[in-house]
Amino acid sequence: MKQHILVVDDEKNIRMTLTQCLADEAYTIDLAVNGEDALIQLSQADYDLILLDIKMPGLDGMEVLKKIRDRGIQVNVIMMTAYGTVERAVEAMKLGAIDFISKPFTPSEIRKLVQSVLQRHVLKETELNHFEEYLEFAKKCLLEQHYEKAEEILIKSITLNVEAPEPHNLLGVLAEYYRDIPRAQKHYRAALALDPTYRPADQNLERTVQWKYSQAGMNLGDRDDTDER
Amino acid sequence: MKDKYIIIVGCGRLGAHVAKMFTRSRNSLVMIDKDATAFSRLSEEYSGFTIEADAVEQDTLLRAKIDQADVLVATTDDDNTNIMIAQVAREIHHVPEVMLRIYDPSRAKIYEGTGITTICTTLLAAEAFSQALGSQEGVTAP
Repeated sequence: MKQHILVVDDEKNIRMTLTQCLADEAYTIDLAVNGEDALIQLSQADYDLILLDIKMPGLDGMEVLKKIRDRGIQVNVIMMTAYGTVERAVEAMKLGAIDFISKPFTPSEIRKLVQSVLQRHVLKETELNHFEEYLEFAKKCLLEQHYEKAEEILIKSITLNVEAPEPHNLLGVLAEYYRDIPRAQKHYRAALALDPTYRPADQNLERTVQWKYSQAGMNLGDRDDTDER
Repeated sequence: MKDKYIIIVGCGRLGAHVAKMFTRSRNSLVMIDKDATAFSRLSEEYSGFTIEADAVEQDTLLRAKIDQADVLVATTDDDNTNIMIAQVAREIHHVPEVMLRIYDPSRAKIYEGTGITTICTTLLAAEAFSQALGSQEGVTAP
């Protein structure tokens, strides 16, 4: 069965790009031109995934996400952000969206992300083999708000790939969730020690050491987002 | 040519036209121009991203994800800008295919063999003129 994707973006260019990027894969793609349109389409059909632009006139992506969850729809959501605007990551995470992609994106980037998000729900804890699967499963736990499980899986994933910064960054995010800032910073530093160029951890560390602590701008692993501006 | 990630710098007449042709062959495009009004030159069917910023700044190219680009085309109206952006793309970011438009024929040859494709529009036009003249003479000659 073809998987059903809804693309929500007010810019025609982006809708066309996404349609083209995903054209060869086995997906059925519907387009919505704004938040209101998306909600109408969501009441008429079931979707496996929504690609949702955060910044739109009228209902913005975050409001649409909230309305989707209020209706009890547990669909996968990838949030599309403009350059350097992930400041609402925590809010999105609470609403069950931890996948972000920043514009512009390459065709392979979007295809890979769509694929991994769509495959995530079939992952079972007893069938995890590779590091990537553990990482995806940990994200699944985060989405389902099983934070203790997520932590356990992330720690296991580290033993499979001791050099990867991603699990450390996500552990830091989790620690922040529990408001344990010193522990979060330790995790971010560990991630950076492994890969000094890993931007998400760099940004998160910088954010947490500021005099006025804020969760705004938490980066869940989007390498391409540079500083907020 | 299909499915490439292409960055075009300069949304003038040439840049916009290049974008139009590349769109048709199903590539993923990013157009950079420091003047947002320039994007109005893009055709209706243009499917790609636009970034309003100065590509001379390193940050702009990073924002366009230059490290993942297959092709960069520099088509601003300034030779020096095009040369500089092309060199940055090639030398620092190792973009596999880099092309630039240049007006000054005397500088066109400098970049031969550097992996940068230089298109000198002045030379191209001159050659076209001379060919047109040649073919006319061919017809009228006794």
